[in-house]
Amino acid sequence: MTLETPTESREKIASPTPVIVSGSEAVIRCLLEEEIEVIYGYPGGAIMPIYDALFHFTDKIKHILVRHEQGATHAAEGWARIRNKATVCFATSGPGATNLITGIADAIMDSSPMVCITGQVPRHLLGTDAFQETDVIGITMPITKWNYQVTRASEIPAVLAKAFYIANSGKPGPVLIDITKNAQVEMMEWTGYEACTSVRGYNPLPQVDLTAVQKAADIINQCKRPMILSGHGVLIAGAEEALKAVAEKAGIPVSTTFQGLGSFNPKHELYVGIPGMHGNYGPNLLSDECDVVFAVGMRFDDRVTGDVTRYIQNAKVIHLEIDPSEINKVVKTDVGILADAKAGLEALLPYLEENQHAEWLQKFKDCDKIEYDTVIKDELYPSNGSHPRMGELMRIINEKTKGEAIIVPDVGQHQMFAMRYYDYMVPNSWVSSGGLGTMGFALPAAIGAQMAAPDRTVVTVIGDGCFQMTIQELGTIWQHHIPVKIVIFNNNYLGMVRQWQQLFFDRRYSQVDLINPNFVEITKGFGIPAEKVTEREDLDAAFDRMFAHEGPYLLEVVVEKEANVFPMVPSGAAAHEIILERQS
Amino acid sequence: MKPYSIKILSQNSPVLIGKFMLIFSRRKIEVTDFSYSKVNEEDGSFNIEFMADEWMAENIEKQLNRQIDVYETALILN
Repeated sequence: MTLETPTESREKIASPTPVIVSGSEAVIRCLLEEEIEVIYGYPGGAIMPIYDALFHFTDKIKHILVRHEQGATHAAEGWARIRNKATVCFATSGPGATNLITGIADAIMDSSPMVCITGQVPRHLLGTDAFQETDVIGITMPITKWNYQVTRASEIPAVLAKAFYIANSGKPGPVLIDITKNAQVEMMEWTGYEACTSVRGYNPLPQVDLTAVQKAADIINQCKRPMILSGHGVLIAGAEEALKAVAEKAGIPVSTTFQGLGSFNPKHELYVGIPGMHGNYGPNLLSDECDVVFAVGMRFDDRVTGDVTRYIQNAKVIHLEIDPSEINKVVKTDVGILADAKAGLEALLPYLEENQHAEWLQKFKDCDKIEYDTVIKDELYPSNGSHPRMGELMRIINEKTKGEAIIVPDVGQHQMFAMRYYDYMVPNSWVSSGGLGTMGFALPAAIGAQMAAPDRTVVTVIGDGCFQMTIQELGTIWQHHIPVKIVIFNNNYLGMVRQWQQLFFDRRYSQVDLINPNFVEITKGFGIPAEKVTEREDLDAAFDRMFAHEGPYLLEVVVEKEANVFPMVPSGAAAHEIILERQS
Repeated sequence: MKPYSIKILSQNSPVLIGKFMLIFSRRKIEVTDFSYSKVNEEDGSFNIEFMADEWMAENIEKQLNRQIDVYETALILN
């Protein structure tokens, strides 16, 4: 064994000869072994040794210096949602670690894999309220898939291998590894890296139970009014083709959930839209008439079910899900199939009989027509008002990108319009904060999405309220030349809250007015070209200029001030009680 | 509401006590008794008693079972 400088030992990463390295260098070596391409992070006192080790490896691993640790987590989510693979966040102890919390909570809700590595005070100072000490393990217990505090350098390779295995396998999620400063500087013997392939008691890829599959097939083969709810699990498993095969063979209408957008071709004859609060009319209204609901890789979020006591009461429920705790959690299941979505659907296919449900499908088409005439037509092609409408903007973005861009909305009304009025033709093209509903998500998430898919167009659609929550990441975009297209839907309101105050609080607009700064000048101050459009007739050319520009670009559009998102399942109502427009 | 016990075989790690209690407290389920014993250097055994309806008890068991450091669980109606 020899003691080597980081530069010298860097050459020996694949060498079977043991070398002595610091805990910090071991961290970087582990990341290289896991083929991590990018780290999103922010340095500080307790993680400085790891940043010092990183200094010697910057030709092998890219670090993106975000402007706030929350931005690191959302960027990592953006990356993960495109690649279906964890990347890494670095943060220091104390405020650095606590600034990660919102993003970690967002990631657990939306099954986004990531590994967060935080620096921590030295072991002998733990529990002493030392400078920048916080109990990040305690804080992140309920919002991580797994967390662990490393206090000895020798633990690092095995712990990080386990961290990546857990984050990426089964139902993906965030893992946090807290490394005390003494462990970062301690020297250890590096004998090579062994990827983790199993953890005692953890079964991320359950064997498909063919008895359950047969039962499910029997139910599907006899049903008259079935509907598939296709969720994020289909995309994570890469089960789009298997889903299509099942739907086509059994003739089942397919509804894709908010996070399942892109899991089924929106132009397919069997596609019937989106369920839930601001979803489509058909899959909500007809949910009560279904005799079978086949839920694949989704978790019956309350935004899908509405009043769960009155949800799909006439249907038998088949739930194909990889996480056993989701089966029977919200909705009583007749048949639960514990499996990865792809494996489960492929196992089911041979048991299904060829079938069609033309009359039933026609009911969805009839609903589509009602929704189009009542809501959609005017949203996409408004006949009055000079200020553009949000649906109209999404139509233009859809036309100009042919439904093939990655769309990263923030949270609020504009998010619902982005969900409703874009054709997600390519799987893994929708990157949105669904479970936690984190305002400020989009700008940093778009950074990660763009880096994960450098050859694709990434459009981030952001409300004026959301934009100001993580606006500092414009600096990251400029510094690292991330060519995202940013479209601000500016109504000078916190629009969704205002909509609810209008509809359910007798129009008492409480703290929703925003007097905004000059977004164009701010953006230009960050070195990013920007322009503002207020009139409909200027939209087309402005979008053309944005898409023609090679680098990042911001387009602010002043939209109709008091637009509402419809249809809507009002809070407390059942899904089938969806309303198409405001009722007095 | 019925009295239940959950027996948990897990990694021998004191951190797990906190994780388990969060699962109960988040759902406003009162733990009526709790014990822990070390099985060997690597393994530990928890016994948690509580009152809940059947659906909640089953859900809590699933939540405990999905913790990475838990090897197996058993739900028992007392």
